[in-house]
Amino acid sequence: MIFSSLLFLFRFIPVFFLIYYLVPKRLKNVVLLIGSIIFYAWGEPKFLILIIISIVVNYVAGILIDHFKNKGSTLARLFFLLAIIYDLSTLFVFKYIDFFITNINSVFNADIKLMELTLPLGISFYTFQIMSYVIDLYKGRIKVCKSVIVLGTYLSMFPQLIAGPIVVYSDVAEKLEKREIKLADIDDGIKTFIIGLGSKVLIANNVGMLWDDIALIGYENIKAGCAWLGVLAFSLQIFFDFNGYSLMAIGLGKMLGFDFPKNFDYPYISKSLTEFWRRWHITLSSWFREYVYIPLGGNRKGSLRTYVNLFIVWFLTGFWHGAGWNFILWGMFFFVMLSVEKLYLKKLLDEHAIWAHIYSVIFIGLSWMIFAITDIRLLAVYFTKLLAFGWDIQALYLVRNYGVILIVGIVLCTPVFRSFYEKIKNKTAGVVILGVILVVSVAYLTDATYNPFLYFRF
Amino acid sequence: MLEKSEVKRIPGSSKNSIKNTLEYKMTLFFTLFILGVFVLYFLMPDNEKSEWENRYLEQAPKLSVTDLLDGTYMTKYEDYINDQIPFRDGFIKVKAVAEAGLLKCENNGIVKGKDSYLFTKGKDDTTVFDKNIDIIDQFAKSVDSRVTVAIAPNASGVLEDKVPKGFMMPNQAEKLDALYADKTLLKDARVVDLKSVLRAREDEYIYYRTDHHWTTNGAYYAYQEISENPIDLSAISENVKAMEAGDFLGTLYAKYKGLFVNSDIITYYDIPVLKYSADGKEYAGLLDTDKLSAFDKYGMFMRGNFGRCDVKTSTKNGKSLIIFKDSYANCLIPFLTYDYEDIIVLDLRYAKESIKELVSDHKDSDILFLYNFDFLNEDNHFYKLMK
Repeated sequence: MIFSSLLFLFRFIPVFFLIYYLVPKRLKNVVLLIGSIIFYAWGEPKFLILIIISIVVNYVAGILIDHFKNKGSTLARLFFLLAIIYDLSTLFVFKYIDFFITNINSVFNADIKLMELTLPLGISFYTFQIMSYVIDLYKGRIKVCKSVIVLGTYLSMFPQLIAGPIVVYSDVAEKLEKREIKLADIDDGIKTFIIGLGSKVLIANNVGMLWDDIALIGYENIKAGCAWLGVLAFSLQIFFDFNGYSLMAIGLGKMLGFDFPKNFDYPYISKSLTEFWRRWHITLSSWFREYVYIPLGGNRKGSLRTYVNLFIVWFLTGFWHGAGWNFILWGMFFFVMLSVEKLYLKKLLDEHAIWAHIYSVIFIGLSWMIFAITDIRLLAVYFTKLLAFGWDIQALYLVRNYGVILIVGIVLCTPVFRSFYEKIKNKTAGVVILGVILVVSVAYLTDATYNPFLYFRF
Repeated sequence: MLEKSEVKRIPGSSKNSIKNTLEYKMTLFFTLFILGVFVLYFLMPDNEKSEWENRYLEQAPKLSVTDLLDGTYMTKYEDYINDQIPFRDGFIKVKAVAEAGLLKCENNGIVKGKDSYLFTKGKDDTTVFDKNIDIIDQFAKSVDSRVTVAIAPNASGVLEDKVPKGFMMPNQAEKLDALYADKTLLKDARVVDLKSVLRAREDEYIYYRTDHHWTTNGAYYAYQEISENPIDLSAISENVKAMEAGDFLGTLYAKYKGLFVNSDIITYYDIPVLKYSADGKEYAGLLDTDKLSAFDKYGMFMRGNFGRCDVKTSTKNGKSLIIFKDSYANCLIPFLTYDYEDIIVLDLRYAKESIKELVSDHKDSDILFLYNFDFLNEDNHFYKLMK
């Protein structure tokens, strides 16, 4: 099930939340767990088993790690490694195996059959979440989770199950055991949810159609005008889509009594690509910093090791987004750009704010093309078109049709309305605006011809 | 969806809990809206069809274990929820208003051009068209009968100045000109240049604004070119009165659903025939005027699309015709009854019989291919010609 659907709004939300609020506190985790299982199984009944096994394996591993750790036994290390190997190998098999087989086949001229497994929804997100639990437990940073219901609730919690944010166990451990549900939080959560819904349905879907139009014209047939419009459209689509999902998740989390971490912080106002990654998909970059970069030694082992570590992190970040060469290339693009910034550009960018903004926006946009166009040949075509000077007639039409929504999108990428929103959000005016956004979003979902889910590769 | 008991649990808010609740206006609105629509789903009866959108709506799916396990049930249920939302038409209107507010000229892949003519978005790719023309070419070579090929350009190929500049769609005019100029393709057939015929009349009402078909008027001009001895409209009018039906909102509008469109007018001539049967069933007359009160008004012509229709006309000349066609032909066929005594109408999408046998059984019949451009560029039933 996805949040931006009438099914979720008018079946799941009323039924689930009615039950959730009505049952006594001690039953809330069970209700949340069952609700989450139904939410997940609705679209992917056959992969439910994978989540359940993952819960059980990591739960048992947790208990064993904790048990042997207190006795100072090396068995703790063994069970820790087993859990990590299990988690990574399910991810590997379901997400990456065909990628490796294809490449082995083409390099060695072999003919190994592809497995052709469908990617289980949300596997990249929940694998990272459960790994945070096992790693933190092994490192002694958290206490063991004694209840399989609680751990199951954590892992399968429907708000963040399929598209993040990546909530690490320590973020919510306390609330999983004991949480107050305050009316003020619910009210706040609903507002956040509606803003997220509007971002996805009203802005992301609308500008996303422009990006699809470019594909309809064909990358071979466009000139610079359409090519740059495409860069703009996809940049806006991915931000409003992803941030929209995160906001809906955070809002739903609040309605449940949780506090999920912020995932996006106006990424497109960054003055460098380094800063962009502090503002974009924050929970993912924190995860890689916490569980890959720092354990590898971070920047404490000399500059060569720092760059090797950065290389590893960016390779993995790219590859995490999808099993394809373009995603690896995308990660490498950031490795190179961030290294260049670290080595040479930092001072320059700090001194020239306007140029720093222009540079950042253009390079972020270009990076999105590497991300969006999975066919490397077409990607090369697209990049040549970015330089094919000329203004195509289709670009004129696209500007005429999408001009207003593009401007709305660009404006809402910046914090210009933030203080205005903070001022009105608890007043009638705020409620009216959000109410209109909700009703119009439902209208768009009713007459939807275009409502894609972009994270099926993650 | 907040219960009073919940409020009481909040420290310091136990007094005036109702009043307190009302302070959270967002929660109040959200709860009322979500629960309200939820309840209305059950209270309001399900609709069978949407007149406005010109289609049947999804009904509540029946629960079965197999459907549940392979996910069919979930997909159907989700479609059902989408189709049966209370005030569906109202929500769709709200979207149309919002789209107009964003100054978009396009909605659901349909664009509104000059004089509120609607056009469909599409890829400029004519591979399917080429493939189908090839099959027709082979067919024409393989038969002895006289074959005529008439391809009707769609509105976008004729009324080019009404299409917004830069709109994505196949360049029909260019493609058709190339076909007419090609001396090797279709050389065993008479190719009728309907594009030039219709271009010459582009200021007249030859295409519907809200429907993907041509008007009866447009079809008549095409008939004049297809027929070798066309009858005059005035001659028809002596016996058969031209009738009109207004308020026609067609297939393009059913997708577009935007604001400020002009409805169309259907003109029809109820030309009498001796006998008309469609898929084995006999009907009185070629037109079904009952359809004028339904959503699919254009469906009145030839009573809709059937695999095979047989027409015995009032003309006595012993000539017969086999037509391979799509729905564009439906409003043109009545005119052809003045040219032929027997007409067999075949729609390859639904035809069940062997075309080879049928053609060899009717060696003396003329053969006409009458298709619109978009159909030729989409349909994949032409392989049946060789069976």
